Amino acid sequence: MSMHLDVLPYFPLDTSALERMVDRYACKEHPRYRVMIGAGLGGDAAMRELLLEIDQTMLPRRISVHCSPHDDLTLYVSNRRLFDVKKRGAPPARPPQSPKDAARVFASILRGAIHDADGLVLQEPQALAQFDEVGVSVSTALLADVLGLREAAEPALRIDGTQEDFSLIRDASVASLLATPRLSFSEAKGTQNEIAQLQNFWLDYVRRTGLAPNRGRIKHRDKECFVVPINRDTHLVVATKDEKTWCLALVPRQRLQWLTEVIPG
Amino acid sequence: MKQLLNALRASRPDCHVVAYGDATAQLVLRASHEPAYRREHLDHLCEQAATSFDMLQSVAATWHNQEPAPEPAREAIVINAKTTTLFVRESKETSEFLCMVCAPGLEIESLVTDGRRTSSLVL
Repeated sequence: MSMHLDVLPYFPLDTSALERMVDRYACKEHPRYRVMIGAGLGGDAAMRELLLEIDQTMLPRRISVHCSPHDDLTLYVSNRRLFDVKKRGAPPARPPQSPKDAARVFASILRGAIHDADGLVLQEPQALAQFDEVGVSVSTALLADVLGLREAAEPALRIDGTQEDFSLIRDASVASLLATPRLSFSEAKGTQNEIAQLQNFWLDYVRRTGLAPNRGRIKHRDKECFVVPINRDTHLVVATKDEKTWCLALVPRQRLQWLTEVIPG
Repeated sequence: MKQLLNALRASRPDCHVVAYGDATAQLVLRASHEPAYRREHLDHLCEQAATSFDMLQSVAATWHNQEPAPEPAREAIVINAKTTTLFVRESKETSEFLCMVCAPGLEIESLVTDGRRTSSLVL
C-alpha cells in the first residue's frame, strides 16, 4: 500500500513525550484506540499538534517527525490511529548552533537556489538582505528542519506565467515552503522588490498563524479568494487552489471588479 | 443592533446575510438571514474573518514602510463561486467584525461603502 509522506516542519518533539506516546498508542497489529488529545502531555504544544494530526488522518499516510537534530521517526498512521513507528537515518547536514548561524545558512541556501533557478534570478543585494531578515525571524527549530530536509524536498515556490491583469502571481505550497528552502522561479511579472515583499508576507503569515497542511482554519471546501488592501492603489489576493496550494497576487485597485468575475471560475 | 443588521440586508437585494461576530471567539453574535441559512455557515464566516484579519496583520507587517503611510486597512473580501463576502472591523485592535454575504459579481466599491457605514454604527 502506497502512503503519502508528510513532513511536519514544526515538530522538534520532546523525545520522552514521543516515547510515551509510542508506548501508549502504537499497537502494531491491532491498534484499538484512537489517540487522546492532550492525555498526559501537559503543555507540550508540538505533541498536541502531532496528536491532532493523527486524529484527523483517515487514509493511510506516513508522518515524519524530528525528536532531536539527528534522530527522526516515521509514524504510520491510518484511521485515526498510530499503527507503526520506524526510526530513520540521521539527516545529512548538521543543524546550525545558533539562530544567527541558522539564518546565515538559510540565506545562503536561498541564494544558491535562486542562482540555480532556470528562469528569474534574484541577485539584488537588497532582496537577499530581506531573505536574511526572514531567516532571523524564523525559529531555529524550523530552520533545523529546513536544513535536514533540503535534499529530499521538492521545489517549493513557483511564480507562474502571469496573466495580463496581475502584476505578479505566486503559487506556494505551504508544506513545501516550510519544509524546504529550494525555490524555483519560472516566470514573473513585477519587480524583484514585489517578489521579496510577497515572500515576506507569506513567511510572516505562516509563521504567525502556524498554518500548515490540514491544520489551517479554512477547510478548502470551495476555491476561495481573499482580498486585502495593501494601500489605496493595490490589493493583495490570496487564492486557495487546493488543500496545499495557494496563489498570491498583487492586483491594481481598478482591476478588483474584474477579479470578482474571473476568480470564482 | 438586530434592527441595523436587518435594515442593511433589506437595503441590498443582493445581500443574503448580515452578521456581527467576534473573530477571536469564533462566534457570530447577531445575524440577519433567511431561516434556511445554517449555523455551520455562520461558523465558516468566523473562520474566514479570522483568516482575513491574520492576512491584514501580515500585510501591515510587510508593507509597513510605505510612503506616504497608508491608512490601516479595516476591510477584507472573500470571493468564491457563489458569494462575495465583506468583513469590516473598526480598528486593527478589535476582533469584532461586521460581515455581509452577497451575490457574486457585485459592485465592490458600493459594498465596501455600505459595510463601512453600518460598521461604524454597529461596532
